[in-house]
This record gives sequence, structure tokens and C-alpha cells, in this order.
Amino acid sequence: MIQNEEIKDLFNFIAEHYHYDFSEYSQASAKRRVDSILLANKFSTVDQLIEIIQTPEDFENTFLNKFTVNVTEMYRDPFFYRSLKKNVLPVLKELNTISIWHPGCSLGEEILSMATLLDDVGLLYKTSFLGTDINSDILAEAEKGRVKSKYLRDYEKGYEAIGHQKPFNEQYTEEDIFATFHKNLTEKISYKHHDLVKDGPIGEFDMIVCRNLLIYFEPTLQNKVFNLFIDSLKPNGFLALGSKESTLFSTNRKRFNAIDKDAKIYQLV
Amino acid sequence: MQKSINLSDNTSQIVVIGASAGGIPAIQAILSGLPTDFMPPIIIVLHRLKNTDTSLKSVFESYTNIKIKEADDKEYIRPNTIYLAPANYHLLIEDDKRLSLTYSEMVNFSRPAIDITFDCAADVYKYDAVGILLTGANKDGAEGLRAIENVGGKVIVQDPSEAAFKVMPTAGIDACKNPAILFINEIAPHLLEL
Repeated sequence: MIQNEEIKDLFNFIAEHYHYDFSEYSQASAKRRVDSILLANKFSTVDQLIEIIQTPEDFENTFLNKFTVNVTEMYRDPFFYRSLKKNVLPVLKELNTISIWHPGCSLGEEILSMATLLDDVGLLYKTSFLGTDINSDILAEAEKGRVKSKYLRDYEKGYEAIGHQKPFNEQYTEEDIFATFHKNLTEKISYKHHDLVKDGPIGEFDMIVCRNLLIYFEPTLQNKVFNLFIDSLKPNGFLALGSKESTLFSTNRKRFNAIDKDAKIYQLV
Repeated sequence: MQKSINLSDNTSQIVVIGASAGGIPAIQAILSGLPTDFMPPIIIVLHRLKNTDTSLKSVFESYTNIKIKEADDKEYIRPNTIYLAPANYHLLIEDDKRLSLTYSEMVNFSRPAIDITFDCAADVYKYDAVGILLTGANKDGAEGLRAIENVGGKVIVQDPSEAAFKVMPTAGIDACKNPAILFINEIAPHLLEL
């Protein structure tokens, strides 16, 4: 395992050259990610990695694309989506427009999941989604609005466990390797580069869905992000976190009223 | 219940138990052999089917009076407590002995992966780490057990001859130089004497 000093050197270099600040990322996870990057490139020291990431392109390819965790799936935790249907969508239904922000959206599977759900309950026409991430290559892939066909069977199980009217296979066109979701869904989604660590609010939203991102941040950074979320939500807006996350590390946690403790859905008060 | 000897006062240690298929009764047997005042924290990493709903806590809590809970992200590891790795997350340990969860790629087709938590225990606790690898049908945990042994920690493997599934303990034995190979009923008494 690489040493803390080496990680510090690497993050200092990155902060200076690329303006990403990873110093408040969870170290245990960060160390493992950097370790596996070194291993994959057959580097024995962090200095070798620093030598390679001297251009933005090499930084993205060799480091950033592998450092951030891009493991996502559609309809993860069906109980979360069932709770949304029951507790949140009836409130959103009353609004003229619905805006939803997915920070750290990675490949966009959660946005597509939300889009098919809102389509199914007849709310998609007035909904817009914004997906943001620090990884431009991943955003470019997310823009394509597609998933690997081999995962469709698993996703269908989640889709059915949530309960939808429309059959899952009417939501996409399956080609060889990929299944592309229909334009009525994807035209509601836009993607932008945004860094939760240093960028300010990117709009005012009725809901923020940020599941399994904060676990990669230290509590001090989690607190900053919660404040950003407060500034980015409309009055009575909703926040959804991952099943093992909570607002515990927010100094303003009293402003997040848990409307479903297990599904980790909160409402701003 | 037995009275604990040395280990109960040594809170610098940590015990990590890894198991897969057949692991529940094996872990129940170990827990039932530990006294209530067993001080080192215990982390249990058990492979489970994806999206299983039954709580592991309820599976184990009737076998021990030690406090048992599912690991929360960024919580400090406390003595005299049993932590369960939650389903679908890897369980990591920060340098300052806090637990961290990640939803990163599966390792050995598993999440939680035993290798990852063993690795972290080796990295953070060094020779104060105790790794225990039990029954299972894949080789997850073997590499991590070696990592614990390499930093001077103690490694214990369930005797494959009594394991419900032999692949995992056999891989653990092959990966280590000098593991303690024990029957399930010998493991708790062994822990009390470490």
C-alpha cells in the first residue's frame, strides 16, 4: 500500500495543475484507487505517475477516469424508488415544472432510472434532469443515453420490483452491445461538468439525488456539500442519499427532515 | 461463559472474520464462545446474495451479548463491539480507525470483499490485526490473509476438513506461511489466548 506522504505529493501536484482538490476525500478509498492505478500501469512509485500526468489528456486518461468510482446501476435499491413514488412524486406532481439534479452522476444510470419512473407516472413532460460529474469522459458517455445490453435483464428485475405500468423493453432500443433509451427520456437530461468541492450552486432544484457519493468524502467535506445542497434546493425541496449515507455530518442537519429514514429521503425545512 | 485472559484488555487489536457459503453457523459458533467482555472490536465480512433483505444482525445477536451493529460510514471503531459489513458495500478502515464504505467494483466477484477489509486491517493495525478465514466456495480472503501475516498479524483458518465449503479455507492456508489451522470450536478459545 502506498504511503500517506506519497498520496499528499500526488494530490498537491493535481491541485496545482488541474485544480481538483482531493485532500478531503476519504483516504482509505483514495489510497486503494491510486494503488490500483499504479498497479495497472506497472508503476512502482507515485512519482512515475506524476511524470505521466503532465498533460490534461494524460491526467484524464491515466488518473481521473480510474480514480473516481463509476460503478452505478439502474434501479439500485428498488425500495428507494418505491418510496419516491409514494412519498415524493405526489408532491412534485403539483408543481408546474420539476427540476432534478444528480451530482456525481457518473454514467447516468440513476437519471435514466428516474426518467423512466417519471415517464411511467406521467410527469416526465414537465421534468428536466441535470447530471454533473468531475469526469468529462464519463459525462460524454452518459450523454449517449445507453447502457450495456448484458445488464438489461438485471435492470428489468429492479424495474419490475419498483412497479411500472409500461413494459421495460418499451423504454429502449436494444442493439448489439448497447441498449439506447428513447429520445423522449434522454431529451429531458442535460450533462455538465461540476465539482462539488469547489464549484458553487448550479441552479435551484426541486430535488437532488446524490446516492453513494458522499461516502467517498470526509465528514468535513460532506458538511460543505450539504451546505451547497441547501443553497441549491428550492423551499421544501427533496434530497435523496445512498442507503448507508445520512445527514449526520451536516452542521445544518436540522434543516433536513427525514421523510423516509430507510430510503434516505429528506425534505428541506 | 469463559473469563477472558489477555486479549480482553488489549484494545489495540482488531479481529476480522471472513466467510462465504456456510459461514453463518460457523460465525455463530465462534461468537457464542466469546465472553461478553471480549474487548477487541470484531469485523465480520460475510458474502451474501445481492439484495438479500434479512438483517445479519438478527442472525447473530442471539449468539452473543457483545454489542453488534451494521457498520456505519465514517464511524470510529470501538472496543467490545461487533461490526457487520453491509450488503453491497466494501468495508474499509481509515488510518485513524474509522470505518469507511465504498461502492466500488466487485473484488473476487464479491462486494463486500474479504480481501479488502483484511488488507485495510493489515495496513492500519499491522501486527495487531487478527484475520480469520472460514468456510466458502471461492478464494476471496486468501490474499488479504497473507497481507495480515506479512505485517506480523495473526492468521487463523478453519480446518478445511470440517468446513462446509473447503475452497476458501484451503486457499487461505495455501496463501500463508504459518496459519493456525483450527476447528470452529477451537477458534474462540484461541482468540482468548492471543
